[in-house]
Amino acid sequence: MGFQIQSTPVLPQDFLHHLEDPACGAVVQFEGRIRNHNDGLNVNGLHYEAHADFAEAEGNRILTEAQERFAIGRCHAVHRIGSLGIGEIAVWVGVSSPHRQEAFLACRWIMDEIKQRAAIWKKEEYSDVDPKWVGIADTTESDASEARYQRQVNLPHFGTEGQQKLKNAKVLVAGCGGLGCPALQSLVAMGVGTITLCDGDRIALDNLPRQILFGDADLGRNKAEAAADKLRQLNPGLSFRPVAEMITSENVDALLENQDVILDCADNFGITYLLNDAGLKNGIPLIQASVHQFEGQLNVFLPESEGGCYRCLWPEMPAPGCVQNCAEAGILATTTTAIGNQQAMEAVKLLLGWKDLHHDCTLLTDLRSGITRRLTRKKNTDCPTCNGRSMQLSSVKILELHSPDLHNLLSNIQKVDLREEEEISQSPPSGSWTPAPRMTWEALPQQLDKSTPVLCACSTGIRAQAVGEWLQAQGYTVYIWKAHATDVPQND
Amino acid sequence: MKNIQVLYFASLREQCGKESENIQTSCETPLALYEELRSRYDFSLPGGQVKFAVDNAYVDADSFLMDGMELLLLPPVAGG
Ligand SMILES: [Zn+2]
Repeated sequence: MGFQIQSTPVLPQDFLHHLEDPACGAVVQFEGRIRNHNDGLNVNGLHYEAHADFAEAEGNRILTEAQERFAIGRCHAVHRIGSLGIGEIAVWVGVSSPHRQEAFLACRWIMDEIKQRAAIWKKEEYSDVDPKWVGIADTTESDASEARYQRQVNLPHFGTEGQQKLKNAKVLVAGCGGLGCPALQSLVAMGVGTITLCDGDRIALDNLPRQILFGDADLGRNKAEAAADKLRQLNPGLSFRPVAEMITSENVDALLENQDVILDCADNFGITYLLNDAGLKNGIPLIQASVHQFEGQLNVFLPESEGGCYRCLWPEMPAPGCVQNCAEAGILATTTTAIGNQQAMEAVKLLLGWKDLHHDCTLLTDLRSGITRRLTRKKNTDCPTCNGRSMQLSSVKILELHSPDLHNLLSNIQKVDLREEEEISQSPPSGSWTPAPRMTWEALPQQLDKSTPVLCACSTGIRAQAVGEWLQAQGYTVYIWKAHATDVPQND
Repeated sequence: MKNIQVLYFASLREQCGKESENIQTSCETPLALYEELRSRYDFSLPGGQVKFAVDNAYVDADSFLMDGMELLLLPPVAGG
């Protein structure tokens, strides 16, 4: 497997052995051939040149990344250099995988990345005008983007300066789920230049009806990576930084560095408090939103503003049993896409300096009744965050089977099983656990010892995270298990 | 007695099964009224974790309830 540059004709049968793998039932090959026209001009032939070392190194990086991104077996790619006539193969990409979806997706992705990234140039020889050298990446960007964004540039108070502001903007989107997908889709379509997108979760079947950037072929992939791939296809001229991790107290400051605005599209209180506190400390505006069934709540928190912060509004994180998440309450795409787009709208207003930004208020939207309310907020004079006292708590830590310190940690930890009694009796965990069905969550602090770390587990990690964040906010050191409680190895 | 038009949002709406209702009460403050409604509907959130709004602005939990007011009861929401 590898990426090669060669000056002799590309013969696909020479490379097929690189794709052989008995576990792979699908092989996809792509051939890029020289065509006889480009941009309305007749082409007689092409001449390719490459910086061979750079091109091969970058090509091999692309193939390695493809293997990390897609569930494929093998892949191989070849780029020709020198003079080529019409119909000759300039580039060949082959991928094998257990199932066809991944092979198709990976083949296309590899080809697009080679065009964008490999250090290869081409000289087109036309019938009637002088030849010219161009990078193999598509289109000259400025011409294309002028036409591309014309309809929004025509808006009042937008203009080419507005478009330039979007292009220069750096936006952090925390959470690539129900709110994150539509917010990202709009930000990218509008041409926001640099987007960091974070999510530690993988795409599950029951995410698909509302997490609109994803399809069946993405199941099991990390949300941030899958979203970045989709968004790159939608608008390849932008720069994307997918972060396949949950936002925690350890990485939050690095993620916020140089950002112009944060969109909180996460689905748990822990991340909202963390972004609120870190955003205020770093002087970065936060556009926070959350949804419940058909309703949305949206707040724009500006540092140093009269309206205060998230902690002014909600000083204490509610106990996890009191407020349901989307899984329990139910949710519809029309709610999440509407509210996610409200967040994108506020981001545009903020980046363009429009005065009708919804700051210092909460925007309540009810998709069923169609009623939107705007509630004025004011700073809470007792708020610790607004009074400059650092409230930033350390985050819960994630424990997995391959965590390096797993056995050490398990030897001295209080294990809490947050499943209902019926679930526990059907599949009891091994070792000694404190059973804690939903009814008893609020009493957990009385049962646990603050000097020993706590491990929270359930059947998927969702309940573990909600309860864990809450316990952590009360001063416990919390680890959460991101799989089934019965997968925790017995250590006692 | 005062007449208060109470509007429920998000999880409160779900727990009491209605979007709004007219309440006759002698309660002086939004918090006292919420505690009364909490015992009626078995709301899970303690009064300290609910926000109240009147006339398009949040109001303090211990502000005065007046006859004919429309009072919004808002729980925190986490879904995304
Ligand atoms: Zn505050």
